[in-house]
Formats: sequence, C-alpha cells, structure tokens
Amino acid sequence: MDKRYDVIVVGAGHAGIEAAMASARMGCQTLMLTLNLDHIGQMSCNPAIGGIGKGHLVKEIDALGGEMARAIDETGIQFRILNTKKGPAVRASRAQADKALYRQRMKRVLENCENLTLRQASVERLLVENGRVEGVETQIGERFYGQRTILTTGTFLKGLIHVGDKNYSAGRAGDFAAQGLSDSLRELGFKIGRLKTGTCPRLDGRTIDFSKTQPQKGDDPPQPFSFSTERIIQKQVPCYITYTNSRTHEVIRSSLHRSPMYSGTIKSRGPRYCPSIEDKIVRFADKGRHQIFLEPEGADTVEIYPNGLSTSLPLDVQIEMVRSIEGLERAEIMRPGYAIEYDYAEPTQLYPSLETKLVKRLYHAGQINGTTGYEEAAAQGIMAGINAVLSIRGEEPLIFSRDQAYIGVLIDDLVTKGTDGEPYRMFTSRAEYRLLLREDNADLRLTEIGHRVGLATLEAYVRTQNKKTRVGELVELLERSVVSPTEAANARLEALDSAPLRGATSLAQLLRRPEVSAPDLAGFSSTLEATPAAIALQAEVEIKYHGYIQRQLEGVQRSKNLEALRLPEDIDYAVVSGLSREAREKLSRIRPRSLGQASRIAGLTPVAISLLSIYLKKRKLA
Amino acid sequence: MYKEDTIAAIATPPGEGGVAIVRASGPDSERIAKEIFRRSGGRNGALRSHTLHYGTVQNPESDETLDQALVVLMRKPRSYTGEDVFEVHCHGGPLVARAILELILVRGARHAEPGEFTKRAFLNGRLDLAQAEGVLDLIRARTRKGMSLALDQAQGGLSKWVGELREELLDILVQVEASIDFPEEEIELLQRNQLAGKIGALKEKVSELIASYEWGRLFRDGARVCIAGRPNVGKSSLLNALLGEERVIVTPVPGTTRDVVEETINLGGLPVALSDMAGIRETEDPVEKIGVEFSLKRVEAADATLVVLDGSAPHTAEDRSVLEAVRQKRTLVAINKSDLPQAIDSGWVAATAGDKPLVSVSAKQGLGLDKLKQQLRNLLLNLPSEPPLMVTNLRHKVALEKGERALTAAMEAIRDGLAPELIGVELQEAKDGLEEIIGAVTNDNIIERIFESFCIGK
Repeated sequence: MDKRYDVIVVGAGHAGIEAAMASARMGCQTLMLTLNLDHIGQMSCNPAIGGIGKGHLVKEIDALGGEMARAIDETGIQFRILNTKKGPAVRASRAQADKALYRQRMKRVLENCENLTLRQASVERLLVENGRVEGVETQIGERFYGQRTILTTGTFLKGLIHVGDKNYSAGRAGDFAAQGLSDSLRELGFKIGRLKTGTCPRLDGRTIDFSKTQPQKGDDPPQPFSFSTERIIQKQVPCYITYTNSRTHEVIRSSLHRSPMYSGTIKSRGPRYCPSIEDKIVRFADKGRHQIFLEPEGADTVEIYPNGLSTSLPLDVQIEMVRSIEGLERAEIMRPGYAIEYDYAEPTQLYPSLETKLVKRLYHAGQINGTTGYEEAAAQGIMAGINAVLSIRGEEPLIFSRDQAYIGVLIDDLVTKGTDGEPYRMFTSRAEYRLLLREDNADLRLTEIGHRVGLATLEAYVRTQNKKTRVGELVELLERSVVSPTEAANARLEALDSAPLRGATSLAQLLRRPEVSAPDLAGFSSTLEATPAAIALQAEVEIKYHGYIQRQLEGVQRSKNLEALRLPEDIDYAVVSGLSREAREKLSRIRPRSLGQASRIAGLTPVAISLLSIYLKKRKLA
Repeated sequence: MYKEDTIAAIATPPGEGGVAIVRASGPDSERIAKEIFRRSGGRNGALRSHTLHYGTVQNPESDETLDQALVVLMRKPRSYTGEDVFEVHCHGGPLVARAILELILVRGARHAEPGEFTKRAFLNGRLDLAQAEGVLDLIRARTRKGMSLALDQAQGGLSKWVGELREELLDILVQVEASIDFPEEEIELLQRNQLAGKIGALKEKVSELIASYEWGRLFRDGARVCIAGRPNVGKSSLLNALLGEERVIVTPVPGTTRDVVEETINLGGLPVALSDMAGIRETEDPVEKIGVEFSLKRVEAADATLVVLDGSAPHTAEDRSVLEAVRQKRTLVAINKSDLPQAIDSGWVAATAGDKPLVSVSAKQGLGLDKLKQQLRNLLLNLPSEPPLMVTNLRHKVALEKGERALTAAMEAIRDGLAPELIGVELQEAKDGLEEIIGAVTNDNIIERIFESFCIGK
C-alpha cells in the first residue's frame, strides 16, 4: 500500500498551496498532506493579503504563475493601494479577505488541479536513506514515497498556545500540533530553534458600536493583485478605526505579571514589527494611544479582527482591555487572542534553491524557515515547488538575484543571514535595488521565466510580451509628442499646480515634473487617453525615474562582479590563510555560492572577502 | 598573496633618535630571537611574550657582541601583524641597527618590502582598510605633527569619526525608510524641511573633513615654498637664517645662486620645503636665462611664495615684475635688511603687494624671523581653525566627496518634492561613500533602528 509520487508537500497553508500547485502544474505527480482538509489556506492571523513589500511578493508569485493573487482577487472584500503619495516603486497593494471564501476557493482549485492528490494525514517522520529523503511516514504508520519532499509546516511543529498562565499544545487555535516531525528533523542533525508569534482576540461585530469609530473605505474602483484579473467583483466593505486610551493601558500595565511574555513562561522572541499590545505599551510608554483597525473576517460572518490588539494576556484581562476601548464597550470576545511558540529550522541550513544541505531532495518553505506572513510563505512555497521539479528534471535550480525579485532578496537573506532569532518579514528597505523591483513590473521581470519553467501560462506570457511592446511604443510617443505653450496647455498645467510652459516641450519632459502623472497628460494626447492604465503607469515610471533606475542598474552591474565569482562547493575554509576563526566558522556553515553572497554574511569583513578572492585566484592558477 | 615566511626590517627612520628598532615577523621569529639574543644574568628558557628582556645581541657563529639591547617577543595573534613578532631595541645610529638586521637575515629572514608588515596586519585582519592606510602614511610621515595625525588615523580616529557621521546618516535614513515601509502607522516623522536641515548639517561636517584634506596633505607631504626676488635682496641669507645655519653660498655677486637649493624647515609641526633659486631678472646670459625660467616654473608649482625685497634700497622694475609674477599665488612679502636704514617706498610696496601680508625682517641680524614663520604657517594653512581630525589620504577624500555630492543631491530632491524612495537612493549613496572608508556594514541596521525608534505594528 506504499504510494509513490514525484513530489510530496507536507502542509496545506500558504506555502504548501503554492508548492503543490507549482509542482502539479509543472507536470509532476504531487501529493499534498495536511492535518485537516477543511483548513487548507487558512488565515491563522489577520484576514488580509499584501502590504508594503508583501504586495510586491504577491505580484511576483502571480507573475511566475502562482495562485495567491488570483485567490485574493476572487475573495477580497476591501482593496487599497498603499503609499499612493509616494513613488511607484514603493506603492503596494493590500486587501481584506473573506477568510472562509478564501479557504474554500483554495481548496476547490487544489481539488481540481491535475496531477495533485490531497490527503489528510499527520506526518511524524521523514524516511531518509543515505542522506536522501525518500518519503514520509504518518502517525498511523502509513508511508508515502516521493522523489522530492517539501516541508511547509507553518507554526505546527510542537506548537504551544499560551493564554495567560495557561498553555496547551496546538498548531493554531482549533488544530492539533505536529509532535514528531521536528524531533525527526533534530535526529537528522538539523538545528531547530523556537519562535513566538501571536494573534488578536476575535470580536462579535454585533456588539460593536461602529458609530463611535471612523470608517476606512477601500479604493474605488478596487485594483486587483493579479495581472490576469480584469476587475474585482466581490462586494466591498469598509474597515473601522478606533484607538486604545489611558485606561486600556492601565488595564494592561496592572496585569503584565499575568502575561506569559513578561512572567518568563515564553522565552522565545516574537517579531518586533508585529508586537503584542502589551509590548507596545511597555516599549513605548509615552505613547498615549494606539490605532486599532476593526477588520471584518468575511461577508458571511459577524467576526471582527481588531488589528493591533494581539495579546496573550489572560481572558479576563482581554475582556477588560477590549471593553475599555471606544466603540467596544459592550464587545463580546468570540475567540481569545493568544501567543504561540513553535519550532523552526534555521534557514542558513538551506541552499538558495531551498533544498536542505543536510538531507538531499528535502526542501523547506514558509514559517518552518523562520519567516512570518502569508506572502513570505507563499513566495518560498512556489520556489520550493519549482526547484523540486527542476531538480527531478535534472535542471539547474531557479534562483533569483537581489536585483531581480523580492523573492530573491527574501531567500538570499534567509540562507545567508538567517533569522537571528526573530521571525523574518519583508520590507522594501531590505531590497537595495528597490526602484527596479516594483509591483507594476513584476510581470515584466518574471513571467517569461515562469513560462520557461512551465508554470506561467502561454496566455500570461503573450500578455506580458504585448505589455512590453506597448510600453516601449508609448515611451517613444511621449518623447516625440511636443506641446506648445498655448493658453489652453498652460491652463491645464496650472490646474495641476505646475509651472507654465515657456517653449515647446515634449510630453516626456512634462512627465518628469514631480507633480505631473501620466493620467494628468491624457488631455494632451488622445493615444495616451486610450491607453490602459497599467501601460501608461509603466511608461510613466520609465520616463520619470529613468536617471535613478539607470543608477541602480549601474549598481547592479558593479555588484555582478562579486556575484559572478562562484565559490566552489568543496572549499575547505580551514586552509584559506588569514581568515579569522569567526569567518571560517560562518563560511563553513553557510557555504555561500558566490563571493557576493559571502560579502552579505553578517560579521564577515571586507578583509575576509579580499582574502577569499585572493584564495580563489591562487586556486585558479594552481 | 603573501608567503608565510619571516620578514625583517629596521622599523625606525634612519639616523634619527637614540634608539633604533629592528623588527621581524613570521613563523621563524622566536627561533631567530633565541639564536641571536643572550639575556643578562645567563638566564635561558623560553622568552615570555609581551615582555621586555634585557641582554646582548650576539652572532652565535662568532660570539661577537653587536650591541646591548632590549628584546620583546610578541606571540601571535596578539601582535601588530597577527604573526609571531620580535623587536630588538638597540642603540640608535644606522650602523648598529643595520648589523643586527643583517644578522637576522642571515638566520633565515627576508628583508621586508615597504609596507609589508602593515600588509600582513591587514591580511590577518588586525587592521581595517582605513587603519592600514593610516599606518602606511605613518611610515611616510615626516615630522612629529604629521606623525600624530597618522597615528590618530592608525588608531581608528578617522574610522571613529566617520562612523559617527554614518550614525547620523542612519538616523536620517530611518526617517525616510520608516515613512516608506510603515505609512499606516501613526509614527511621528520629521517634516521635509527638518529632514533637509539635518542632511544639511551632516553635509557641513563632511565638507569640513574634505577641507581638512588640504591640511592633512600639507602635514604629510609637506608644503613647498619658493623664495623669489630679484638678485641680491638676501634670499639665500634669509633661507640660511630660517634654517639656522649657513647652508647656501652667499656672495654679493648677483646671480650666484643658480641651482635650486631646497631645505626643509619645521613650522610648528608643518614640514616646509623652502627653495631658494636663481633670482628672477631680465638677463641675456643663456645659462642664467634657463635658471630664471626654471624658477618661474617652481613658483607655479609651489604652495606659496615668499617674495623678498631689499628694504635698504629703492624698489626696481625687477621688484615690480617679481610681484607681478606671483599676483595669483599665495604670497608673503618679506622686506629684508631691516637693520639698515630703510629706503624703499612703503606706499609703493603696499599698493603693489595688494592684500598680501607683509613682514619686515633682517636675515643678517635674525630680526622678525619668528613673525615671518608664523605668517608663513598661517598662509599655508588657510583655514579658520584647525579641524578636529584630518583626512590625509586621497582615497578617503574621494569617498567623502562622493558622500558630499549625494547629500547635496538629497537636499535638492527634498526641495524639488521628489518621492522619498528617491531621496533614499541619494542617502544610500552617501552611506556607501562613508562605508568606503570604514568598511561595509549590513543593510539590516536600518530596519533594526526603525523598530527601536518607532512603535510599529498593528
């Protein structure tokens, strides 16, 4: 009764979905194992996808042929573009999801996916022979064999939930934890660490007085994530904003000793960018109030997610704290907030393909690598799926450089720097070539590659090529079209608060003014007026940021030299003379692929890098 | 790549001081030290590391004693180069030190190439790039003031100061980055004009450092000053007076000084090479003509000119042409022969010299020399006050200039209302410039700082 597959994916969260779908769509017989078939694609924390840096990841996943963007487009109930007042590189999409719809939609697509088998099972053990993973064994002794295995276990490895001084084993509230698997990894020699994260209590919307809060509406019309979505058809709903106050803070402060974070029960570190409310009040004591976003969990439920109120305080304190907030005076908690501790495997144990260095043919993706966020998980999932298949085909792995994709930044950071004991989240400031890695050009950057490996559809490929052509034509047109300093033209500019023309000026020249955007110029050119917004935006970015983009490209070129210097797999760092003990230890552990990657290892000095380059030169001569 | 052999060299400058140091570094250091050094009191056994031992340096073959000396062994890695090092502190003077060095070389060491100790220190991670370059400057430093500047840099003075500027820059970057990555958070950020103010203040500090390069260069390489004047106004006498001894042939026959005579004096730590040269005058003598042309070229290349006039005689057309030749140059005008009755038209001097400083001296009697030295020093170090730290290395200056340009561009970007990520590009470039001096540091610091500074997280 042993089953054989090409690829086994353990876990059906955001990483598992992308991994399994990529593998199946690329033609591999794929098995997805999950603890609970009803909880595929569950959003364990806030009901939202995207955000700054994260929206970028979602667009990249979509460009490669992944699923997340289309799922949120179909099930999103509020869409907003963030940073609209800033430049296009840092604009990002974010959407509230109808959680149940999202889950159901993901399950439906997985069930209908060719080459993909779903099974409910609790994986207890990896089957490893001669340093190679052959398959997995479940709690009830069932064995599945696969050529490649991908672990996407999220917070489930030895998950332990804390509420006040009470704790219990769970993968998230309402689901069992996976007890055996992290021991199996430990036995194989993996360094396993422990992280902590937390979530908010969920409130009954019928007991909230929304009239005391400020509504926050989404964009109208809502802008989709996916390059393939024409428009959003879900009914859109608002979120609401309220604030904590001094009484809230007093309630929390007087009960801090009952928080597992402060009583010392939880020792692992949580993410500082996703702090619990008790953390915020302790660390920023002088702040009089904190924003709380009341986000609906779906159209068909009364549950409300009070974003900003993540907590692991005891339930009685949670109730008192919630009710001290304006609009929530009579609010009922439907599910308590909690903190969760879980095992993760330090990601420096991975190659940039996400295959583990210790066990061949084994891949790790998602929170098991110490990241946080659905988007970060999905991004790793799709790459693990692609690379598992490429490896079965005997092809080189797909590894994005830091100037190519946020996915490249994410994975390079993980495998080079590790997590440093704190869950890793994407920010645009992590990307040194931020101006090149925009949401708007994710398709132009990645779709061709996604299509080449057999994941992005032909349709997507053609669409992208057309976009490329049309953008090129539009840029040329804008450079060529000249506006004369007529009264009408200057009146239009005055309306934009832009200086009047002195002489004939090209549209491109006008577009270079910071206050002028492509839609503003529609009146000057009928072609521009008839151009789809995505094309116009692309042309605008290319013209407006030409100089800066050129500079970043030069920077990329300079660093390419270091990136091109490959460090052979078999280097014995002990014989590279002059290296400090610390440098030797780090290099031996991380085994960077290139001198460029080595230079990003924390604590490696320029001296060590020049010693390595000298060593490489010497080795080549020998 | 350096070979792991043992190198040796005389570490102290030739001919200076009462003590000379011969240094060796490499795996054979300890063996050689034991072979050539005999401790007083006949003690044997291992030399304790990082301890001064007193004894004699002897040739083990001939038992000939070369000198009494102090020897110190520094076992790796706690040594300057990170290797086993030993030093012999012997009596000064080139002969003794040279004999000891030769002995060490005979015992198996190789003569070090210039800067090789520092190179090893750098390759072994004992120095960062800025420190290593500072040490190389130290080796070349000529006077004590120059020495302390170089020392300061070697000890990380420049790295520390630039590191502080980088901290300031990071605080500014945090503001920009936080506004980009956390637009939904209620965090208090600086207004654009406040941001521009902070960037401006930082730019000033970078500019100051750049300006100090000129000082640094003068202290390290020394300044060159030409003494110009028509023949027989006492240029050579003045040079001799400044040097404190008779070095140049002084005759009353005009045009005696044909060859350039260059001597270095110490102006409060600033090394100044003074060149006295053929007098600038109209002449038909072909040999003298070459000398005059040569003189004019030297004047062009010098950092400043010291024009000498004869105060005891009325001015001549030649005096006028000398002053005209140096019109564009930093110049100090010395009116010599103040010990004799004055015949020069002081009104003419003031009018012709313009805003150039004047000083009255008597080379013969040694009058007014201190004032002249002071004026000359001020003229050369044309800065309002001594900077806290001097940039002495061209590479550092270039990196700072890159930073300065980027900061200026960032201020312009703010003024023009450009998007914050573009301001970020400029600030990042400024950061790169500073990090070219102190070595790169990972990008993550920015994010760390954002979390330290602001309450982030919904």
